Parts: sequence; C-alpha cells; structure tokens
Amino acid sequence: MENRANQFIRAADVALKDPDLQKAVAYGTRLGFNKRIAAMYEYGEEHGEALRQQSAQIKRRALANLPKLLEEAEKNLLKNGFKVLWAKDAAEANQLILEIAQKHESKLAVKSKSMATEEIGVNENLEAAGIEVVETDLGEFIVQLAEERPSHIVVPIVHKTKESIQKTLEEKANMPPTDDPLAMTRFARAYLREKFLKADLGISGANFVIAEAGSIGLVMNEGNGRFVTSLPKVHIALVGIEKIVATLEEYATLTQVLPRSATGQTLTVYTNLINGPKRSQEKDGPEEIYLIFLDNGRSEIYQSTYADSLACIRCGSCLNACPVYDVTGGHAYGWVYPGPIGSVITPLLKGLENAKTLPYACSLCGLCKDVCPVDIDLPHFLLDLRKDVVSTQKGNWIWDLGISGWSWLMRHPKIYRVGGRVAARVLGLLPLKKLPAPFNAWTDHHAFPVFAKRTFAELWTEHQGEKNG
Amino acid sequence: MSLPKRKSPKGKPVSLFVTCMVDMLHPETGISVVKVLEYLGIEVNFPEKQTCCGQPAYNGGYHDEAKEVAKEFLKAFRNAEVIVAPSGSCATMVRVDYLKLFADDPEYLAEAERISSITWEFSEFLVDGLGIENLDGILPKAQSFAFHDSCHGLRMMGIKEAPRKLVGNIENAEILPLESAEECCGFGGLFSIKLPNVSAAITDKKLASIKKNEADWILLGDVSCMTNMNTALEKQGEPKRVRHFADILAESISNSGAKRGENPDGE
Amino acid sequence: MDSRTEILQKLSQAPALALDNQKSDSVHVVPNLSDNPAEMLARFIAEAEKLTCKIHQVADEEEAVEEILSLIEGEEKILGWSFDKIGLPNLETALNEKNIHVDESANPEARYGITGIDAALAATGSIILSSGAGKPRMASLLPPVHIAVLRSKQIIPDLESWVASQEDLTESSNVFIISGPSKTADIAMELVMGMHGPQELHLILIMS
Repeated sequence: MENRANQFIRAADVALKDPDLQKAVAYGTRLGFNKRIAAMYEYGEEHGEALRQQSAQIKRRALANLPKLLEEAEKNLLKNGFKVLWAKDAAEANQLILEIAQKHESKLAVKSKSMATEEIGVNENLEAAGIEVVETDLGEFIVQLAEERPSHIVVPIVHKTKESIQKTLEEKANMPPTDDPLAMTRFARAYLREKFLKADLGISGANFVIAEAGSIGLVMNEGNGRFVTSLPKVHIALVGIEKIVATLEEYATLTQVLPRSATGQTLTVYTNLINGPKRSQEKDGPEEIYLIFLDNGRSEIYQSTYADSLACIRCGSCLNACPVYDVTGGHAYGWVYPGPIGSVITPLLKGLENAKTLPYACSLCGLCKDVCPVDIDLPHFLLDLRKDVVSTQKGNWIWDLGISGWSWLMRHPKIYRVGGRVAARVLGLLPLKKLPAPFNAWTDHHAFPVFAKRTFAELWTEHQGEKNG
Repeated sequence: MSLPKRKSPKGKPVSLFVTCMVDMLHPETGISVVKVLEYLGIEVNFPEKQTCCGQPAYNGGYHDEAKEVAKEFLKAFRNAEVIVAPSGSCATMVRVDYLKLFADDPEYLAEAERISSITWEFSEFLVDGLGIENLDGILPKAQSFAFHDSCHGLRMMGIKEAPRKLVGNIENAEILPLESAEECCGFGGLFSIKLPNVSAAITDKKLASIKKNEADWILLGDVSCMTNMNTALEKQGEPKRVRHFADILAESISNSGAKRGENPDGE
Repeated sequence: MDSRTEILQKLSQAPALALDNQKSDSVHVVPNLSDNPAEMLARFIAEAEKLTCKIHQVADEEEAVEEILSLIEGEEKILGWSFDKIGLPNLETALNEKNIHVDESANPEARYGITGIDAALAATGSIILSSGAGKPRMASLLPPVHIAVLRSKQIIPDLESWVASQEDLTESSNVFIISGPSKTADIAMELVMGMHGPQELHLILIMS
C-alpha cells in the first residue's frame, strides 16, 4: 500500500470537516473502548491487570527467544505438512505468492482479512498477473468495491455510514436497493459464497504461530476465514515473524485476551487452529498450505530500541482509546496501521523521513499504554521517535531556533525573570486576538492567554514581607 | 519502569517547584500552594534559580536542549529535601522522565534519581505524603465542583482521588461527576501549535462535556490544561469555568478563622 | 544468502531483550471456574444462550433423534458428519425413514448441517470440532443452520483446561472452537447474526 503518512495534517483537516466520518468514528471507537473495559475487567480490576501482565510477558518471552522459536516453528510446521517460505521484504513476498499462484494455475483468489497482506499489496500484485482477487471479510469487501483503504485494524469501515455502505453495494455490486443491514449482509453472503465455491486459492494472515505445535491460530467472526482456509485447494498464510508464540498454553491465553481487548468478546465466533493441509481421509480442506514468514522491516525493529513494539497483537484497542484517532479517523495516518501503534511502526517500517509527522500526531495523554493488552509503552516510543526526527530529519529551522532560544532563556533565571516582567507588560498592550502565521495556530482556536503582570518571584517576596511585617 | 521510592516527607521543609506556566500565567496559584502549606505549619522555601523542568523541549523531541535545562533544575534544587509542584505534568517530567533523560549520563543520573525520589505533585503530597485529607476549610457559600483529571498526573502518577478528597472535605463544597473527566483536553503542549486543528477538535469535545456540566467550577491540577480550556472557552464567548484546585483550598482555609497550627508530623 | 538465513542472522545478532519481573504462575482468562458438572452445565447453557445458540436439552439419544427430526422435517438433503462420529447411531435409520439424505458432496443448497463435537467449554459456551475422516468441515460452515449434538459430560471448564488435556492437538488438520452462529458488525457497528457461516446454531444437549 502506498504510504502517504507525511500528509497527515492535510488528510486530518479533510477528516475534521467530514461530519459523517466524525460521527461514525466517534461512535465506533467509543463502543469498542467500552466493550474492552467490560470484557477485560469482567472479573475485577486486579484480574484484568493480571491478564494484561501475563499477556505482556508471553509476548516478551517469545520476542526474547524469537530466532530459536522461529526455527522450532518451522521444524514443526514442516512436520505437519506445511510448506514454509521466508520473505525478507514485500517484493519477495509478492514474488513467492505469485509463483505459488502460477504453479497451481490459480484463477480466483479469495482473501480473509490480513493487515500484512495490505502491507505488501498482495491484491494489486496478483491482479496485475491476471488473477482475480476477492476480499471476503464484509468490511474489506466493501473497501475493495469502493476502491478505498481500511481505516481501522479490526473494523475496516468504522468510518463509513450505513448510507455510504448501501450506496457502494448498490453501485458497485448491483445490490437491489435496501437500507436494512440484514438485507445488505445477506446480499454480500450470497455474492461472496459464489466466489468461495469457485476459488482455487485462499489467502489469509494468521494471528498466532505456535512454535511447539507447528500450527497457526486464526480468530474470526464472519466465517469467511474458514471458507478461505478450507475450500480452495491451495492456502497461503502470510505472517509477520513477530507473531510467534511458544506454547499452546500461551496461545490459549492470548487467543482469549485478543478478542476481549479488540471487540469485548470472550472468544471470536471461530477460533481456528490450523495444523496442516487436509489428511488423506478428509473430504474437504486445502491440499497445500504455504506459510510465508514476512520480515519487511521487522528484523530491523527487532535490532533497535523499539523492539518491544513487535509485541503488538493487532487488537486495535489503542485506536479506540486515542483522542487523535477519534477525530481524524484512520485514513489520515496514510498507511496500513493507524492510531498509536501505526504512529510508531509506520516510521519504523517505512523510514522516518516518510512518516515524520506521525510521532507528533499525539497529545501524550498516555491512554494507549493503559489499554494495550501487552503493555507496550507507546507514549515513550513516540517521544523517542520525536527525538529521532529532531536529530536526523532536516528540521524546521523556526522550531530549532525557537527551542534554542527558549532553552537559553530557561538557563538564565535572572534574564527569564526580567524578561517575564517585560513580556507581561508589553503583551498586555498588544492586540493579540488574531496573530499572523505561525502564531495563528493558537489564536485560531484560543484567546491569547493573559501573562501575569507580576511573576511568582515578586508575589513570593511580597508574601514573605507580609508574613514578617 | 520502577520509580525510586519516596520516603515520608513529614517534618521536612518544602521547596516549591512553582512551574513556568504557573509563574507566567497564574502566579497566584503558586501563592495558594504556599498558603496551604504554611497553614499546615510547613516551612516553605522558593529556590530562586528555578525556571522550567524542560518538558516543552523534551516533548518536542529536543532531548539535548531539554537535558541542558533539566541540569539547571537539578542545580536549582540541589539543597531541596522535598519538592512540591502544583502540576501533574511537571511533576511527572521530574519524577519519571528525568530518569530516562539522564539514563546514559552517570554524572547526573544519581542526582536525577535523588530529585525523583523527593518530588511530589501538590495533592498527592498532602494526601499520600502527609496523610492529610481534610484541611478543616469552609467556603462562604455552597459551591459545586467537578474534576478534570489531567493526563500525565492521572496516568503517570495515579492522581485521581487525592484532589477530590481534599476539596470534597471542604464545608459547603459539593463534588459532582464530570462524565469526560479522564478524557484528554487536547493541549499536549506543542501539539496544540503543531497540529492545531486536531488539538482544537479534541478540545471542543471536552468543552462540550464541560458546558453541559452543572457544577459551578471545573477543577484540575494542571495550569496547562486549564489555560487550553479557558482560552478556548473565552474564544467561543463562554465563561472561563476552569480553576486550579489549589486556589479553592487556599480560599477555604482563609475563611476558617484560627490557623490550624497542627504540626504535620503529629507532635 | 537466502532470506531465511539473512532474517535469522539479523535476529540472532540483535541485542538481548530484557525480561524483567517474569512471574511463573499464570491466571486462567476466566478465573475460579468450577469443575463440578452441574455448575459447568449451568454456566455452559448461560454463556451459549448469550451467544444466541438455541439449546435443546434432551434426556437421552432417543429424544435427541426426535428433536433433530422435528427441526429438519421436510428437508431432502442435509450435510453432516458420519453417524458414528455424531454419536447417534439411530439417527441414520430415522433419517432414512423420512427420506432425508446426508449429502457427501457439500451441497450449498443444504439448509442444515449436523455434527457431533469433540468438547464443550463452560467458560464461554463454545463447542470444539475437529476435522477428520467422517467429519467434513463444511457440515458446520456451509448450511445456514448448524445442529451440534453433545453430551453434558463433554463439557469441560475452559480452553486452558482443554489444551492441557490434549495429548496431541495437531492430530487433526484443523480444530475450530465455535462460539455461536457467525456474525458481523461491520455495517455501522450494527450486529447482524449470520454472515458467511451459519445463522443459527442449535445445540442438542443430551443430559447423560
């Protein structure tokens, strides 16, 4: 997917002026936010926090042992009949996928929702080679029809109103007019069922790869993921290398914590453990499963001080909590992963120079860390990324100068005090309702604050005098 | 990350960390803090060389400049035994982020740890540090207050109950809930200037909740949030209903007649 | 250097990741679950009903067969596991008498799919099915109505206890833990029951 992260401010402005988007996103994130609280803390505050810490430790242990666990996973996956491939970047992953499709003469691929496949742009790549690709998750299906992008990790069309979804289905899929969600759903079911039954290739991601078992775990609600991984004779699973979990016991915890955090469910409708292609006596199931381990920048992150961000289980809770995401929606972030996690991993995966506004798209409220089921310190990562931007990107000289000046002033207390007294008197005299750029950034939305006529030091001296006098 | 444990501050003099925003915009709030502390029999001093903790530069990504300013802070408070600040975000900067800022600087790390271990936000100093929840204060007439929880104080230092207890125990004061209490006001420091429209949109949501609220005043413990919200209200022609709780505490004890005189370490 | 080697090498060369405060004891996601059969049964029913499963409690296999027939009366073709895997040997004769045939070819026109289960989870009201000989995956996925036959003694506390009890979880190619009928909330967050998978899940619960 093309990266437009550097256009965040402009894209956010567009979103801010869209009342439908504002309403839809606020409603969806508020719902998700509240559902998470109810589900994670169903058995009390203490238990919920214990679950978070347990999940955090599971992922940290897995990350600490990542290379060893990847090898163990590969060994067991191969034993179970998977074919295991490794892709160092998006280009290689796409090449591998195309080769598999061509080897098996695939004509129609059905996909279940996978952010990793969005990351590498699987659809465009296969379509360029003449293979039809159909998204089958309802939200992604609509995104595909509307030629848009998903705007949320878990709820792809949280930004769309019912009316706009109806319009897309009517115009792009010839749905008979209806505004009833049930009817729209039934229409999509029939439309996509045809594709499931005809498809010869299924493409999915995976939520977990369990090293000791040689299995992959998927969580889904609609059932399309089951079709994608059962009907076509070839199944390709594209998985980031960080999705490893060591044991089935740990998988059992995470596959329950993920839905509780993401949608407030105790389990998703279908929690799938795929242990290999179909056995000889089975009537259905894929004949071949290819698992592709995707690097695409993850090993670089692993080598950096941001390694912890790889603990993310893609639950979307930070999006639902973020006051910035709440008003900008996901498209403003310009790439695959929006919200707080997106602001951290987009610069890390696509290069800081290609996403240098994202670390600043944050009011530092800290709620994202509080809701993260694996306790990633997103706020401090954003602060560190800001440090990286300042030290490596050709700065805004106005800011550099301003901060230098401010720093100098703050290291000279006497001048700061005198300057404060002068500024208070002078600023009191100026017409400060509307300032020219760049200071209009403040006065567009605020009155200019009144600087106190006397500094605290002066009041303190007076107070001391009063006490003793 | 575990923070240095804080010893009991009872019986020790307090060095006031007034914070640059209080100093420049609402110095009377600094005096309110002083009045409350002196009312409790605490000796207060004001290290004159203090200016700012360095948070604006740190939040902007200018860690080197922030460090230079922070070093001056460490020097200014080098003789302090207890530091109290009327600001959750500034207290967090010193208590939490100085440890990160000086992590690779052995020359200053020990002092940063010492300073971190003696720094308190004002409400937690009274309630958790001294064990005082009731100042025996009284307001001349009944007033109602609802609280906004400033993000840093809430999430980094766990400040939520302390200011509510202190104000709630004032005679004639009623605490009402604010449904958006824990929601960010949108200021984020330089965020409000770098991404002004996004910041303002967040502020507008907060203000919508505040305008609906029935309390006489919205109280908080951070002048940064307060300035953001009040100047936005003013721009919209609305009354500036947000105040720092320290001012209410100071008002309440100025009415209660005789000085409290009880020595905070119980003698 | 092939990508596999390159990736593993980069990971191995990275600075060691700190692991602080790692505790050894772990909590179950759903804590304090009873393993008392009556309590597990009550919890299973309560949770399954929350998921809009329709529960048919029957005394024995005979009643189970009757209940199933009442649901699928008038059908000609249905999907299903083999009868020994469903665990109702008399079902075959009963269906033959009514001229209802189990279609082995995953007919998309079939309106019902009948399966057994491997286990049931009290904590979440879920049923666990695995794929295998005589257990086609489509039986529990393709038709709009899925009928699952289970015995109360198959109910165990939770997913953690199921994982711990399985000697080889990878024995079958695919294990699904099913929690209610399929659903979606993608359209303006409005919950719609029945997306690609079944719209209804009926549990024939044999109380023995």
